[in-house]
Amino acid sequence: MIISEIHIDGFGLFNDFSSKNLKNGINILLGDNEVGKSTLLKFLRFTLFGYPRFKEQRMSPLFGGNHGGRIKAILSTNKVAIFERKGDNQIALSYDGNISYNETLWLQLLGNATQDIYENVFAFSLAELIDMDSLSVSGVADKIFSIGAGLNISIGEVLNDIQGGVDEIYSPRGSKQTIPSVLKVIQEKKSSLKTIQENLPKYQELTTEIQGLVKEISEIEKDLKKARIEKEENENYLKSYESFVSVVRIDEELAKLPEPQDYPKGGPGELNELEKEQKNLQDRIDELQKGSAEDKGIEEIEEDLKLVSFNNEILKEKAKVNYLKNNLEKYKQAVTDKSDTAQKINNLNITINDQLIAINSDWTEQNIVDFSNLLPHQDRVKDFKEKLESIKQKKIELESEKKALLVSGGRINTNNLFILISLVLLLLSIPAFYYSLYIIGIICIAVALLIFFGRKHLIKESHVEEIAKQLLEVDNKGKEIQDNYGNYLEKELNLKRTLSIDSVTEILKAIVLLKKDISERDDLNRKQKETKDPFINSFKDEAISISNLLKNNEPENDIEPLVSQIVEEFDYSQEQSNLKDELEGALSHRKKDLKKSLEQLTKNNQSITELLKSVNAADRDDFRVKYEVNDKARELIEKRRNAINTIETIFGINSADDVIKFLKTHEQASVREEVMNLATKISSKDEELSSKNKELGEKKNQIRQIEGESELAEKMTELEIERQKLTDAYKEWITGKIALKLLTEERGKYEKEKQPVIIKNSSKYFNKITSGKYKRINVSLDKSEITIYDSREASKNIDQLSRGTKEQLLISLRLGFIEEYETKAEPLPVIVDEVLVNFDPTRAKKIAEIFQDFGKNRQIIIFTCHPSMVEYFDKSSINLIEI
Amino acid sequence: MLKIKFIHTADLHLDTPFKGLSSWNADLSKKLKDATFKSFKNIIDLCISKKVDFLIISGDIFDSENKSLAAQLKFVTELKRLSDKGIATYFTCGNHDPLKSWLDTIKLPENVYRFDSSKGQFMTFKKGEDAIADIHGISFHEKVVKENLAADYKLAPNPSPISIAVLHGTVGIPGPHENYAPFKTSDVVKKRFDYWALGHIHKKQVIHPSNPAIIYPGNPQGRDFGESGEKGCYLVEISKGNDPIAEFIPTQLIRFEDLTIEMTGIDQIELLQGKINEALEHASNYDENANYLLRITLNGRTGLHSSLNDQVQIEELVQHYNDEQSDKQYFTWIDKIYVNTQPDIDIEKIKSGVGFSSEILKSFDTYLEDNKKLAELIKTVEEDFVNVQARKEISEFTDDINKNLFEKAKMILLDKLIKQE
Repeated sequence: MIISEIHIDGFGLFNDFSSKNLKNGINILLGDNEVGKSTLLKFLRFTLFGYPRFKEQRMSPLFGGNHGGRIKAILSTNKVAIFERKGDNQIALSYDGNISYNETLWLQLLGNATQDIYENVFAFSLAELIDMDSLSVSGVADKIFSIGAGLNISIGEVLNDIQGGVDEIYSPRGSKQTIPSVLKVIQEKKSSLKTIQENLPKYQELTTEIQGLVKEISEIEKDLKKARIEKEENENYLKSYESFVSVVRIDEELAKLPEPQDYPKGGPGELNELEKEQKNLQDRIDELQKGSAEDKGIEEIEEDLKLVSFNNEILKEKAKVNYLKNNLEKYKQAVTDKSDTAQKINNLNITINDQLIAINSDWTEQNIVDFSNLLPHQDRVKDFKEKLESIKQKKIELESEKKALLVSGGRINTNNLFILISLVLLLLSIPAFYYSLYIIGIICIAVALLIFFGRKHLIKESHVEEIAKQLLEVDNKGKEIQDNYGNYLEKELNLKRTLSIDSVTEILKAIVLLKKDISERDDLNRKQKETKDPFINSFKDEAISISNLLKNNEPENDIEPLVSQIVEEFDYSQEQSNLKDELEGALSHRKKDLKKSLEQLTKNNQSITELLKSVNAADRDDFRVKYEVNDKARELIEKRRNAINTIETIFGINSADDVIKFLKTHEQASVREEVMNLATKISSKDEELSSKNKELGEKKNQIRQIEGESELAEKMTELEIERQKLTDAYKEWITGKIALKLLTEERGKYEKEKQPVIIKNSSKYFNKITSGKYKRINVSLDKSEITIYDSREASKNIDQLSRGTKEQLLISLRLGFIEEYETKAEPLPVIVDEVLVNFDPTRAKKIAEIFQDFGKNRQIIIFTCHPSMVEYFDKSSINLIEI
Repeated sequence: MLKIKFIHTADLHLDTPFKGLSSWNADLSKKLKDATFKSFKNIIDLCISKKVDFLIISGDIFDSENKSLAAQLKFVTELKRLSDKGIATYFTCGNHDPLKSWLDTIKLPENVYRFDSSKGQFMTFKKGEDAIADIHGISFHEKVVKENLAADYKLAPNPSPISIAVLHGTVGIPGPHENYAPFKTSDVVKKRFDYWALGHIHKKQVIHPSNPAIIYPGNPQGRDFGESGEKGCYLVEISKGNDPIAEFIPTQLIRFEDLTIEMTGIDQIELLQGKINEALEHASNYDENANYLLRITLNGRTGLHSSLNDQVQIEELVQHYNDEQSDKQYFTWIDKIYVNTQPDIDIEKIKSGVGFSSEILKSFDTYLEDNKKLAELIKTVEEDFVNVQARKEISEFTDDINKNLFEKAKMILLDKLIKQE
């Protein structure tokens, strides 16, 4: 196919752009860098093969116009086709007079070439050339293949990539890859799973063992129980042994005794009681009659009674005697008092008398008695005293004043002075008046008068005469008072008027005292007479009145001893009388007692007789013996019964006979031995039991533990997950391996089938490009060697080539492939993008020649911005289009 | 009104692992580990809440090969709960848990009846003094029982008003399950039982709706992506003279779903999450109140092909999706995303062209058309894998898997050989 026209509606910076004169052969599109060469390239690609998915890459029109455009082409069949495509990939194909929107036809017309193919086969780029230089041998080999395959990528790389992935998953001797690692985990999980699974049989085992143990334990418990019972039985026999022995002995003794009788209970006791009672009664009777250590007996009392005697009469005078008794002391005291009082009265009389005389020899007691109103008198006297005192005082004052005045006689007589002054002033007034100083004159007069009449007020009035006068006055007053005082004494008090006031005061005091004394004395007298004496007398009378009743003694004369006598006798009689009463009482009491006791004694004797009769005893001793024997027998029977009871308590009701029978036939020692044996057996069985129980407990624990573990499904699921991982990894590995295998296969096929042709083609071009320097290229089948042969068949390896030569090689290979490709499919225009730029002029020219040659039957579109490039070509045979 | 109500379940496979999971997730693992137990517990709870007369379990209660002690112990513990409430249990043993694999030291609670391997057994269910239903059954004595056990079932000599047959076996044409105790539907219909309580097939199905009702309840908890969808038990009411009413009640803890998402035309990876949720909601019997475990396969031609093939990106996506589930009451977890997409290139176009890529594609096609050649190539390739132990852990590949691997290899090469703009 040859592109003849390009028309762009809107694409990148192109708007309504056309290029109509593209031809077969070399077409050089010359333009500056920014002019849009690469845009054009893209347009070609997009229009033919489709716009890219991403909008940003679609080169939307920048300057307007519908996005898209069309390409007119002349196919190898010489038919014309217009490929129109819009920016949204809508197509319209004009072909054979029809417009179709069918992609299939479109593709067909393009020879089913894909964009990839187009890129890798028909488009030469500068970048690729540059890369070529840096490729290693294998890289080149790869490259050769890729070119040959029409691929942009290196097969070798792809193979390595896949191989790498595959190796990561598994490699024959590796241990770190995915598969071995997962396998390891699987094995770990399997083993831990196994441990859990082993629980099942273990459970079964343990349950069976437990059942066995339970049975064994029950057997042992049964044995133990039996042994315990036996031991207990034997121990019981031992316990019963004593009782057994008692029974046997008792039976023997009972045999010797008579049948026990049903004697009334407590016979001997009763007898004892009665005997005791009897003895007591007898003792009592004796005691009553004869008396004891503490008490007198009847006999003795009767004796005593006979001895009792007393004064009955005096007893009758109890009241009087009591009176005397009670007042004896008082009487004694009264007698003493009387004499004291007499003494006192006497003293008082003396004192009174003395005092009286002291006051006034004429005075009698009556005077004193008559003296009344002592207090007012005392006051008056006091009054006089005071008055006289004041007069005295005044006198002294005046005296002293006088004295003072007389002493101060040397001083200026002030009174006279003032008179003098006033006179002077008066005199002065005259001249004043004379000289017509009337005012002064008046003033003088006034002052003079003032001083004269006012001088009393200016000076002390201390005239001696004044004073003397006063003194006289006072004196007279004093005398008057003294007079009054004297009168008062004489008339009122009946005393001598010459008495001093102090004396009078004293006398008054004494009168007071005297009065008191007198009254006191009178009092004493009176009392004595009125009360004290009568008492004494009456007492005396009483005493005397009884004195004649005395029988024991002659009455005393003195009252006091008399009274004593009386009292004494009275008391004695009283005592005796009481004693008699007492004795009589005691006597009657005892006699009563005695009667009662005697009665009781009789009764007692009767009882005893009856008692003896009740058991047919001959006498008391017999009675006792009978009872004794009987009691013994009963006792033995009781004892026997107790022993039997003991046995029966241990062995149960009605078992005693059997027990006794057994014990009669079995030795105690043997029974004891049996007990010991059984004890040993029991303890050993106990030990066995506890150890079995422990074992049981342990096994039960184990079972509980196992029952609790339930991670099986979880662990199994984990295991399954690991298996799944393994499977997935394995699948991935297989997938990778398949890819590798097929890829390798295909590559092999390609190399075998296609590559030789391509290499041949390429060698041709290489020869041409190198101007015959290199004749051919050889690639070994396993691609490990790429050799270039020169004209002399000398070989060189790739790495021995220069950069430029490598580049030439690349171009040759490309051309070789294009040639081969075109044999199978619709040829497409070859696009060369700025490829000649890096070559030196010689080589560049050569390549241009090759291109030109190659372009004879093909369309080659060369994009460049270097005008010099154009020079390499034969101008006449190229189509230059400037953009 | 003579009526009984019971729950029919089978194939509990207690304490068996989950298969086909690609990733381990601590949270998920915690939930998964008891899933089979939990589903069974839900069934027991259901028995109690619905006040059924009894429970029927048609075999395969655990997997004897797993040797799980917990399975047997926990099974008995749960049955005791029913027994305490006076609800009986009748069960048979299947090929996975034949009689001889049961611990003889485990004591079955009162009211729990296990059929032994003798023929013609039946047990009568009574309400008070009245015999209401005869329950016939037989247990596998050992793992492989290939005879037609159903043939020996017949009504009791003095039958109760209702007769139920419990059988662990395969009905009709053999399928993916092994052909244990096979029988034909037609044989069984004639026998005049009211209800056939089957077990062994893990996918629930009503073989025959009534006269008699023949039902596989399926296993109550799926364990791999092959057992996807709703899983549970059947609540059955039979009243004499009427058709049985069987209601399916889901009890599973986690539902497996295998989703395929077409990525053709999807150009943004952010849309993927939405597509996943969409696909999930469109899955059969979608229940938003269920926990889901997803395996997602991405198909189609998409420009996202290369980013989807980036392992790291896909893993991050899955991680992000799963992390968001941790707060939810009902979670949906992605186990793995298999990227089966193709690049947005026209393969036919390439194939019809000329060039290395076309040749390779053509070469792949020749293998894909010839299974034998394909298998041979794989065999050759596998010869390089000498780790015998690892190989043992991996199951044999089917033809389909092999083809799949080839397709993948083709895509890888295409990806690498053809550069995209």
